[in-house]
Amino acid sequence: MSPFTGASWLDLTPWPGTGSWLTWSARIGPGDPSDPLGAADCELLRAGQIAQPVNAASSAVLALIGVWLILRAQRITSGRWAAAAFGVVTLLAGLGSIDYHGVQSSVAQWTHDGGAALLIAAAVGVPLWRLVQRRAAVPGWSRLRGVALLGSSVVALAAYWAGRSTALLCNPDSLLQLHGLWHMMIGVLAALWAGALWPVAAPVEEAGSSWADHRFLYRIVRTAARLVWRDIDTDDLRDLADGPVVVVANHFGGLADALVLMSVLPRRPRILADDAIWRVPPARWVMNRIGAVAVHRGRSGSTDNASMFATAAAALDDGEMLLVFPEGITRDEPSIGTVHTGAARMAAAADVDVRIVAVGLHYADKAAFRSDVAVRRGGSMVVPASEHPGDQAGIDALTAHISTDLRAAAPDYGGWDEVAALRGVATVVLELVDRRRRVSIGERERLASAYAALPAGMRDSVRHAAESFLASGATLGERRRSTPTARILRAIVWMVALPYAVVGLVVFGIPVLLTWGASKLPLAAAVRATIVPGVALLTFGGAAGVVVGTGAAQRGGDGVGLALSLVTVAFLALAYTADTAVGLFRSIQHRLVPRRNRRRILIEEIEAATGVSVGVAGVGGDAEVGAGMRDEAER
Amino acid sequence: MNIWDRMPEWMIVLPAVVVWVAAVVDVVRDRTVGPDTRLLWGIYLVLFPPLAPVRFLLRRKVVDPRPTEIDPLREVYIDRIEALRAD
Repeated sequence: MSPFTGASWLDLTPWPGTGSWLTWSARIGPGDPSDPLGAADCELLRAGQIAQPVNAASSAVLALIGVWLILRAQRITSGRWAAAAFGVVTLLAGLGSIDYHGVQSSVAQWTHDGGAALLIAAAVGVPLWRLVQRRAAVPGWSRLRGVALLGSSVVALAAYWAGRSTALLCNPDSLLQLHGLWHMMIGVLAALWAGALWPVAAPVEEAGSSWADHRFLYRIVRTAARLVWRDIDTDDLRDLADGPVVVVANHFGGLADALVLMSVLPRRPRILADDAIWRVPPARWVMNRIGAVAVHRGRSGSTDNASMFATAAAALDDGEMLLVFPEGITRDEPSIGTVHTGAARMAAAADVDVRIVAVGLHYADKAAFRSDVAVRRGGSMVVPASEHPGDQAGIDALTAHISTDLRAAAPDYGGWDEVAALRGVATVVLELVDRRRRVSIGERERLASAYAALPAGMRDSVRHAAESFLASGATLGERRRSTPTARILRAIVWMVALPYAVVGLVVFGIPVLLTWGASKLPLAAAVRATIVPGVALLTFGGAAGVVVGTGAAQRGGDGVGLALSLVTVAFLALAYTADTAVGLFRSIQHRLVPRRNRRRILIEEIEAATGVSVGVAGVGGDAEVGAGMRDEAER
Repeated sequence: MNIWDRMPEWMIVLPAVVVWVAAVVDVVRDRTVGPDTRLLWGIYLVLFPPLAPVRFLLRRKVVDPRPTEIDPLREVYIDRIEALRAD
């Protein structure tokens, strides 16, 4: 109970009288009954010790921002005390506002107006004083910060005017008070302005490269990767979790390459990327946040990469992982282009033993939405610090080694026809080797690459057999034998998933269409491979945001949790049913084509070309060799 | 796109229940943090069940990507073809 009024400390009933905010009787301290404190700021004056709870609480946010600014000042190297004083002034403004809207003490008018005047004086006075001293007035100014300040100012002023008692939007009973938004926006403006006046230098020592230290980024990357691709098969890369490592990869898909690799690497890589990306403000922010390193190739006017090599070498010295696309540009051919010397030079510039690992990205269709991708690990080498090449000949030799490893790990075919033929024959053969399981993209790509790497005579024979098979009209399909238990389980999953798939279709129907449309744009495949993940992230994120927003509006905090769970389940159900339906459609399509004889001929031709039995009794191979494979597999 | 009025209540609640159970199991099995932190997470999940999804956004534990299993029989065949590689 209040010792002054006899009312409870926080009483939400209107001040005794008519119930209107205009009602006023003698409150604590002096005041003009015809013009009570806070009366012009819309919110109903209440009977408890806190006259306007919402306006007082939002003032507390302003005060808390002041506290944060004081704490932040500890990280500032130049002007720490001035920055802390600005924080104190912001805190005082917040406390004055709490007094004015909440406690309404006898000096409330003074604390409120005094705090506000001090804050304005500090915000204007500091840059003016610096100008007088011929120093940079706002050293942390950037275009992004300017836009944020301008936008926040507009929101703040709009909230102020719309939150007056005479404004149309004023609803004195509501818990959503625009004058409260004004208080908080003042806090945001103070924080932004303090950031511009006293910028905190970026920390030289970053957090570790473990995903645990970058888990928010990791979750975005994993979510995006699982959204865009149906299946990501990967070789074991977990031993790359520690130590200085340079991962070299083929560059087929722009943003897609980075997303896929980040989703399978065991820690955050420092990506070497074209500096042109930094010219786009949001992209620049993202690249800096993920620790990417800019490579200057002349497109932004500079080709001086001394700082890039220094940063890369320092990262390796700190035991970090670099991700390099040594071909330099994205490529639409299914082969590896010229491998440049950058990766070798970075390794050579470090003062520690560096491991260089080749990784190959194999896309079923790099620009498609919900396609498959395989990540294959190639050769790796450790370059001891004592043997780092010091001259151009040594760099070239190391680059040649990297090139060989990369060609072995990545798709390196004679052309798209060869890709289609060898992938096709690999699928058919692997289906026959073991019919119990679906052929994964990882298995298929490994075998197709092995066929492509055969001696010329053998490879030509295999390719010829595959092309004849395809030309005969036979198609490739999945022929899985499922057990009754698996069928029952699948039916149950379908029954549960289907209602949520319908919800998923309602929520994500438009994002699916937009992303699918982006994958069909008449652009180079490598460009689409960059656009598709971007469109998917924005549209699916936006749709999920709408559901969460409507959930919050209807059910408050509970609605947020319910909505987050619902959109996750709805998306998984939609993906499951759509992917299964596509698989079903394909298997029906393939069953219509008689192909058994064509398969037999194909297998016989492949076995004749390679001398390796597929191990299927009655399909060209002999049972004994097949049994030998089983024995070997079991061992 | 206001789906909230058109769905039966069980369809809204069921995913939240599944996610809540998953979050509790995740907290109990998380050995990357100490018992105090796990207890705090447990209290939080019991007090504010609908916010269980936040657990999956904020947890420190990250799952290392598992390598894909290759069918052993197929692997033998692929190994044999790879052995024929032209050097």
